Amino acid sequence: MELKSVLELAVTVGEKLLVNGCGTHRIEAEVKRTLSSCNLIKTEVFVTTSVVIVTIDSPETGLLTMVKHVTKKAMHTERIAYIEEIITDFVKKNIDVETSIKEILNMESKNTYSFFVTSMAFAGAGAFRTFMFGGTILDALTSIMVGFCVGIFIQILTSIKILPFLVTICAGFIVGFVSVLLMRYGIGSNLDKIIIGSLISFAPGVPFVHAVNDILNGEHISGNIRAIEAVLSGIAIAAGIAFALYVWGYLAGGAII
Amino acid sequence: MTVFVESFCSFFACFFFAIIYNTPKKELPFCGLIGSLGYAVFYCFTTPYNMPMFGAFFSTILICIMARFFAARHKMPVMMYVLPAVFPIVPGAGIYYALYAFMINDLYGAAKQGIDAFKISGVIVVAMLIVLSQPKIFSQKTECK
Repeated sequence: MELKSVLELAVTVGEKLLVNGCGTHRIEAEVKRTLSSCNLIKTEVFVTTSVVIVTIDSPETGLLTMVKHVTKKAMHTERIAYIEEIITDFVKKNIDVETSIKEILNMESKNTYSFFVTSMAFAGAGAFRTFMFGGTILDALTSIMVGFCVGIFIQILTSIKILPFLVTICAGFIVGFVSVLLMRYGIGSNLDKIIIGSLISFAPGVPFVHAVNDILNGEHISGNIRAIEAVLSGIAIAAGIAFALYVWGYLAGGAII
Repeated sequence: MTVFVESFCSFFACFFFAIIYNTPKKELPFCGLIGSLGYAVFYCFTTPYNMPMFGAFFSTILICIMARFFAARHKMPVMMYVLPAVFPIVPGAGIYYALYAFMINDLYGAAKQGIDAFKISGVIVVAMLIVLSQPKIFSQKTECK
């Protein structure tokens, strides 16, 4: 088996897992599992939030290292499960290296949920979360509309590749603006519950959990990076909402909240 | 009575959140189920007794045990079930109030809300680590984390 292709497969696996939102510890375990199928003297794997470095040593190829820098981030657990299936087939020697690499690179064209379904999911998650916080049914209806607008905006802005920080600020602005707009038409009564329920779907709760997980596992580099990403994303959301409330205060001639 | 209403809403909240995270269609009801049971436990601790940290701890333990069980049966990664189910428990409201107080220059309030939110998140992660680093009892496809 061509060991350079195995190295390329390992780095591709690490890169695709990182792009689709896997935890650092698990990525390293998967890459090591990929490399365990061959007889290598030495393997080293290092993964942080934006880079994958893999080194192998064998008598045929000598010491080889490959580095991959990762910039795009999304959250796609179905692709994580699919990559793990491919690696399991590869380790059991059911498929060979070239087929594995091709399958992983073709994975991008697998169907994900459509644009409309994801927007409805933002709407539904926001509505039920507002209701769980103690809002009324009218608050939940307002959250449906706010969440739908936010879902549409987030998907359009990420597909034209705007910086994630700016996308989060815009999403916070949309949440604040549309909630106050709908409240001024008389729908919904608790502004803060509507805003909290709608923004929780993209608020950094889960990246924060990943961050503390990494720090407790001893990976201080990626843990601290993820923690700062979570804090910055929270600040972006708050800045967006504060700006929306300030704009409404100017338009309506007084403070809203 | 309200526990049933809350866990019903939590089922759908976790269901929709799992769609945002692009989980496969077959696993969506299980994410909702785990989320609703986890939130029911959290609600039983928080509302009568006002002990959110105990609530977060025990509900995350229950969520992780059920997630490992389903991950072993369906041959899927564990985090696919844990992340949508933990979503109602993670203190998003605390983070929002903390940043809001920060913006209006109420720094003491911001520190209090922020540290409360951080404590609950820490308790959630400790509970996850306790359960997810146990050795595999039933045969599972991949190493769980």
